[in-house]
Amino acid sequence: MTAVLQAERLTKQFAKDDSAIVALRDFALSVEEGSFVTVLGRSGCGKSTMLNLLAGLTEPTEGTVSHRGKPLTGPDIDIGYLTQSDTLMPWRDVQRNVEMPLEIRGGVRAKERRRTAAALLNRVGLDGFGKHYPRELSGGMRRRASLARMLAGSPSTLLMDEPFGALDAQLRTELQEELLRLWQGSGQTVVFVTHDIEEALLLGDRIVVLGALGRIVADERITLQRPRHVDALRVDPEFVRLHTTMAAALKEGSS
Amino acid sequence: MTEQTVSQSPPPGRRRKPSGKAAAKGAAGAPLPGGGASGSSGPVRIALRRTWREKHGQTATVWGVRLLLIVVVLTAWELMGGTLFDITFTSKPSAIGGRLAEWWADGTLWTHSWVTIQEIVYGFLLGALVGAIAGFVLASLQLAYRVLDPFIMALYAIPKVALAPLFIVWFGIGMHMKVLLAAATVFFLVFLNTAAGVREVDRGLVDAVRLMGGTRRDIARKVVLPASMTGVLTGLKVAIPYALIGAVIGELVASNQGLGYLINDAASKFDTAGVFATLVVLSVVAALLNVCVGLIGRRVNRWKPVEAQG
Repeated sequence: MTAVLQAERLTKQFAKDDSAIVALRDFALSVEEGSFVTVLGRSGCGKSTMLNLLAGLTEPTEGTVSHRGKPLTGPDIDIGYLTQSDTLMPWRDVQRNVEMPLEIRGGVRAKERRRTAAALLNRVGLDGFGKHYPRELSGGMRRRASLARMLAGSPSTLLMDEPFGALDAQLRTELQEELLRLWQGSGQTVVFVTHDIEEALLLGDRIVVLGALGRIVADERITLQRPRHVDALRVDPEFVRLHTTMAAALKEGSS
Repeated sequence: MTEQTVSQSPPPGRRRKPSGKAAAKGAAGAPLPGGGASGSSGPVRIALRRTWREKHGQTATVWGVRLLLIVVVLTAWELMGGTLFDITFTSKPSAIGGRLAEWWADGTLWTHSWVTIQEIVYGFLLGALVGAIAGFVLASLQLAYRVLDPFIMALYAIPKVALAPLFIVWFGIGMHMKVLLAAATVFFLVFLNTAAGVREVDRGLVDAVRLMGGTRRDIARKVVLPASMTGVLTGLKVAIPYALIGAVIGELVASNQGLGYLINDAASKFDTAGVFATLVVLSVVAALLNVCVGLIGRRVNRWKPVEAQG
């Protein structure tokens, strides 16, 4: 297994007047090809900062991020990023939003674009909603549309920042399972950030727990059988053990 | 291993507790490959039978009261003119109507209106075009905008009427001067609103395009331009009366044709009916321009929620 994403000595600080706020310090992470890594941390531990750096959206104050061996200098179309908030263009209908990555990349004919977008909408369960504007959709449907848009660029690495955080519990479970279904067998590498231990254990192959300033307090493989189901997992002894360990790690990390 | 067999083929509705709400949502819990099944979650559109009164009752009332208001005001004016007020100063609706008809018949109305309409439209288009482009470009260049901002605000604060004498020196008393005076007013309003629209673009949307590999040009065309349309339209809307002001002030200051000239001419002859008649024509022109911008706005803002379309 080779490392797809590698962060070394990453430090990010935001200057303000004569001082700087440090969001991340000496962070190092190596993500293997095809793996599903969940990053667990409490609010304010630098999770989003880390993802922004891994996505190439912001530049680190120090350190480097390499993607497939090459240092990352800006956003890369091979890396998809699903942010916490919806960033669908409100003036484009869902179909045209999903077409957008292909449109920007160019070289794809309009007819081809439409077909790809329609197929993706079908895959995320939004059939027949192509002509709706984002504001006409519910929160869950907008998440699905965002997911479809990210997948339209066919990135090999997916970064997700608490993508289901704002949804109700049932919808979250539904979308988590759909995400796993979409990911399985795709060979894509996923880095999924969350503050929910259960979600982290349900989805990941590997769980990384962040403490303050992005210090890694735990890094473990999750060997639970796939496909996993949340109701069955809750009574699985291995899951219970991991849950306890991670909860302790979270507590330790923030103190 | 039992867990695996269970989750491989989840029975329908397994994920949801069979509460009333979940049952009402129906197929929403169906798995993904079902395709479109999830669409039934969320609001549903149903046909509704309503009487004409339920559908249009309020609109009809509003229009009815408006009409009534006009009739009442005009009648009161008509009755009080000549009894309570001196007709030399206030004229009265019948006299104004008579003057309009007279001007209509001898062609005065159309000749002068046409001149003013041209000035307004050209001035509006010129000012709006230059203002929108300048606002878009300058607001995209962060540093330039910060440097120029105080100067622009200072220029904006100059009463444009005060420019009229200067414009006469530069461009003479022909139509050019009125067009440019109107354009100068319109320019600032459209410029400032466009710039505000550009500067308030959601960073998240810009980042989304960057993540798709978009260049600066992509960001400008696919995010900033559509996002700033709201600002442009606000600018256009508030600029309409100012285009009129610019053109008419220009005519009042120096001209021998146009509605401004007509007002001046009528007033100098103590023909108040003539002054009011011209004002009526001006408000009709303004209303027509408003309708035009409103139509553009409706097309551009189609994506917005109904209550925000204004």
